[in-house]
This record gives sequence, C-alpha cells and structure tokens, in this order.
Amino acid sequence: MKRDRSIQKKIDRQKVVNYMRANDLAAKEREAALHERQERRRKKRSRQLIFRLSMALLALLLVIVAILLIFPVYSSARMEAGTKATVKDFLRFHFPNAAFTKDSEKFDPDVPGIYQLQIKNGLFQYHCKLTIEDTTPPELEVKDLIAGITDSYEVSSFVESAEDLTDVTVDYGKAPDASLIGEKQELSILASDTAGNTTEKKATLFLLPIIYRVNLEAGAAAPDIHSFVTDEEINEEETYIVSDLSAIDFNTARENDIEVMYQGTAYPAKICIADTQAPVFTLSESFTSFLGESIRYKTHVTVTDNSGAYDLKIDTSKVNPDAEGSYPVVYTATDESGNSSSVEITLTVAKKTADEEALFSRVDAILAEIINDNMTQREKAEAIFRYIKDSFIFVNDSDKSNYVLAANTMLDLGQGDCYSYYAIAKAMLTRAGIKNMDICYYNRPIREHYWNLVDVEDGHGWYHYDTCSNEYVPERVCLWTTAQLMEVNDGRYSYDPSQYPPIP
Amino acid sequence: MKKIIVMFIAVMTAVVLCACGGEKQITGDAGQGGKAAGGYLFETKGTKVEIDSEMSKIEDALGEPISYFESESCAIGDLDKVYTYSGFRIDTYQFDGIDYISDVIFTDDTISTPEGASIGDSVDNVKEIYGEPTSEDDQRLIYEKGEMKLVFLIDGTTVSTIEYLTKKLEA
Repeated sequence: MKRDRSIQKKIDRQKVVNYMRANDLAAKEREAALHERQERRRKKRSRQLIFRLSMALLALLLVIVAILLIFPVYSSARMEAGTKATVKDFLRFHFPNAAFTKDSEKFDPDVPGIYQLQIKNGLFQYHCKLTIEDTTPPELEVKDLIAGITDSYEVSSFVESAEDLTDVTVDYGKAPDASLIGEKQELSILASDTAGNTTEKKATLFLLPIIYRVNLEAGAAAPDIHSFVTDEEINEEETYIVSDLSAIDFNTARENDIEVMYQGTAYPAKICIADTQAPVFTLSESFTSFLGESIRYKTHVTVTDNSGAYDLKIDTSKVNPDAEGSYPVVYTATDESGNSSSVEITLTVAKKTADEEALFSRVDAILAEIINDNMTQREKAEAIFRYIKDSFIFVNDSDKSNYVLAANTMLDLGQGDCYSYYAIAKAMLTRAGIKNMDICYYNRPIREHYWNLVDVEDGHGWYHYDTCSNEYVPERVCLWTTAQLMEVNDGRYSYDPSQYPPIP
Repeated sequence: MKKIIVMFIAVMTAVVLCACGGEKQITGDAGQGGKAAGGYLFETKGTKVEIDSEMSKIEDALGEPISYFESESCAIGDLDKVYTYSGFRIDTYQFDGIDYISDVIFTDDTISTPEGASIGDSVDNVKEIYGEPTSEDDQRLIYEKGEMKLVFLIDGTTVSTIEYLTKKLEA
C-alpha cells in the first residue's frame, strides 16, 4: 500500500511537471505569436510613414516647380539710386539664361524714377516695376576761408567737395556779415540734391582789413607793406610786414604764409608765387658737324628762365651722324612749373676735307721734337716708330677714305685702327724725307690690314714697318725683313707679292 | 657580423649616390672674346652694356640702330661691325662667329655715363666724379677697371668724347 502511494505520488508529480512543461510551451508559443503580430504591425506603420513622406515631398516639389514656372520674377522692386543692379537681382531664383528683353525700359541706376522692366526666361516673359529712389543726402566737405579787403567770397569758395549722384546746389544756410571785419564768423553751408536731400556743414569766414593774397611771378622782387594795404598813408610803426621775407625763395612757385601788422594788429597774409612764363631761348643757331666727330648740341643754344631752373630735352631722332646731310634738331626747355618752349635748328653733317697742308704742318711740329739732321734715316725711322707707339692707342675704327683724313683724326683723337697708324706713319715718314710705300692685305669680307714699307737707304731695300700692334701682334715690326714678318704672320700680313716690288 | 655587412652596404650606397648626383660645372673655351671685361658699364634705356660681352644679348633691347655697317677687321677676329644709336656707337669684333663689344663711343652730348659725366664737361667735373685717373696726358684721362678702360678725350679743357674700350686690342 505504501509503495503504491509512493508510486502514485511520483506519477502525480510527473503529471504536474508535464502539465507545467506543456503550459510553458504554450506560453512561449503565445509570446512568439504576439511578437510576430507586433512586428507585422510595425512594418506596416513604417511603410505607411514612408509613403506619406514621399507624397509630401512630391507635393512640395510640385509646388516649387509651379512657383518657378509661374512666379520666377518679382513683380516689383525698389532700390536706392547708385546701386548697381543686374537682371538676376529681379529673380527669385538663379536662372542663368534670364535677360532683359529688347523692349524692356532702360534704366540709369543713378537716376531716380519708375521703370517698367520686361524679363525673359526660356519661353516665358515677366514684368517687373522698378522704383529707384534717392534718399541719400549729398556728401559735403567745407573749408574755412580767409578773405582780404579786395577779395570776393562766393559760397562756392567754402566748398571743398559736394558729391551726389544727382546735381547738387550749394547755398548759405546762414550768410556772412560783410561788416564783421577783423573777427571770425561762423556760417552754415547747405548742399541739396535734386531729390531734396540736404546736408549742412559749418564753416568760418575771417574778413581781413588788409590784402590777404599778393600774387607774384617767379623771379619778381619781394613786395613791401604797400602791397598788402589799400591805405595811401600808413604809420610805419603800426603797419609793417612782420615776417622775414629773405627766407622766401622768390624764384620758386609756391604759396608762402606771412604775418602783417596793420594798425597795431597782426593778421595772416600770403605771398603767392606763380611761374607762368616759359623758358626763353636767347640763342639758337644752326651749326655744322663733321663725320666722325662728336656733336655738341648744347653749345648751340642758350636758355634762361625766370625761375632759374629748367630741364632741356634735345630731340635728335631725325639725325644720322654717319651720313652727310641736313637734319632738324628740336630743343625743348621746361621749367618746374611745366611751362615749356621749343626751338628747331638745323644740324648739317659734312665730310671733313682732306687738308694735307694742315696735316703736314702738324706733323712737322712733331718731327721737330723727335728727329734732327744728325740722325741717319734708320734712326729717324726708329724715332718716328717709337713716337707713334707711345702716343696713340688702338681703337677699332677709322675713316679709310683718305689717309690725310685718317692721319688728322689720329692727331685729333689720339687713337685709331691700323689704317690710322699707317696714315700717321706715312705722313711722318714722308715729311721726314724717308722713302715709304703703302702696303695692305685684303681678305674681304673678313680681314684687311694696313702698314708701311720703308727704305732707309742702307742698301737693303724695302723693310716692313707696322706701327700698329696690339695684343695679337705685340711685336714691334720696325724695319723687319719679310722672313721676320712671316714668322709672326697670323694671316694679316699675307699680302700679294706681285703687287709690290721685292721686299727682302 | 650581419649588422656590419648591412652598414657597409648602406655607406657604400650613399657614397655611390652622392657621386652620381650633384652637378658638374662645365666651362667651355669661349674663344678670345669669351669673358666680359667687367669694369665700368654703360647704360642706356635700362640696358647695361658691358665691354667684351656678346652683342646679341643686348641687340634687341637697344632697338633698331640709326645706321649699321660692317668692315673687315684689322685687329682681332674676323668681321667688325658698327652700330650707331642716338648718342652713342657700339663697335664689335668677331670670334668664332660671335660678335663681342669692343667699344662704346659717345657721339654727342645728349647722353651721360651712369655716373653723370657727359661730353662738354670740364676735366675737373670728370675728376670730381671718378677721382684721379689711372693715367692722363694732354689728350685724355684714362680710368682702368677690370679688363676695360673708360677714356675721356680732352679738347682744350673740356671732354670731346667718352669711350668705353676693351683692353684686348692693346699691345
């Protein structure tokens, strides 16, 4: 019996457990089903939300497109005069192809008024009423004024600047009292534009009992007290110039502030020096210059100016110093105040004449110093060679048209090229009574060289004699044989022997 | 041992790279007229003209000359050329086909040296500007600087010509 009860208890307990398990399972199944339903509902709501948002966006897009198509341009606009406006300022959105039509009213942004504008964008045309207003008053800058007894003073004398987009008129707000002499008085200056906007500024007028401003031309003498007063007779102890006028440069255009005592009271005054006179050419002469010589343009004009200072420009643009002819030369003198004057002269470029007598005269004077009758021909030739080598320098240029010209130029300038050296040697040898001959080498268009042949009557015959040497031919080719010469010949001495007598 | 070998290789690599890199300054033989003379420079319209320098380098800047001619050289090189501009003249000599400036000669008193000397100035003016000359005689004041000379030819007491000259043409 007890055993049966125990078994029965076990069976009962097992039944309970089984029941509990079955309940748990059912509960879990119910819970899962609940979750599944909730998840389906959530997804459904989500889909509905997305759908509604899409519809709203679509609706908004449609509205925007409608606005863009129907109302892209403001129907009216207002702007302040002076504002820079373009067509895009009239558009609600950016349309790159929008533009004013041809029959759109042209408007000046500086001119107030009402303008009817037509704007085209794509296929559609729109109207806009533009109103330009001027509500900005003029900009006014004024200055104080000092006026002497002989000066007039208009309202404009007080105005430094009066600017507005429209026309500006200036007038007194409070006019000056002409009877207030010797003391400062305050005035008001009004500037008004065409729209009626006004600006008022204060200024001071100081009326003096003397002449405030004395005008002089540059170079004039210093004024005395009578230049500043209108009184015929003055008391020099009470009326005089206080400032030291010696400190003023009366040649320079400028305003100079001074002080004047009038009847015991000091007043300011000005000495205004202006230069209105142009420089004057007191001398201008046409002249001649020679080919190969430097031209001294400045020595053929003389200029004076009341200020004492001027700048001289010389226009030689029409001159060719290398060609004979007559050329205009324009001189222009300008002073520091900008006054200028000009003069034209004629420069004649001419060829020097070959004056052999003059050359010989000069050469004879040189020979008298370096040779004498006790010398042999050789000694004379060597003395001449030394003189030429020591006295002239090589410059790669000469006039090769004539040996006399070249020799004279060599003496004038102290320099020349191989032709110049040959020429001066020829002149000196000839005048020294030494037999000589010209010799040269041509290899045109590359090279040519000139030197001398000399016969010193020693029985040898002709010698080579080249007073022109330089870094490349440093040897002193003085009375050399041909063999000696050929040892240093770099090509310049490759003369044609058939053109000359035998040269040992 | 391995570290030593690695360091050695690294050092040798660096040495080789240094040898391969860098730049060698190559100076060719430019012939007789190769090197500019330095010294006093003439200046016109913002262009500096240096004696013994190549004419081609400044020819465009100087513009069209008033006149130009060529002549056979009797000094150095081959063809001499003469360019005349307003106020001055440039002569050149030629080497290996290159034209070098042999001199600049003032032709009138409308121009001045960069230091302020002009034709027509007195000898005292010139000495005030340039100091005592390297040499002088009755006809000229010579100021030598670098490989060139600045020569003032004197006519009486005033300058008649101003010349920038190369020394290459001297004995």
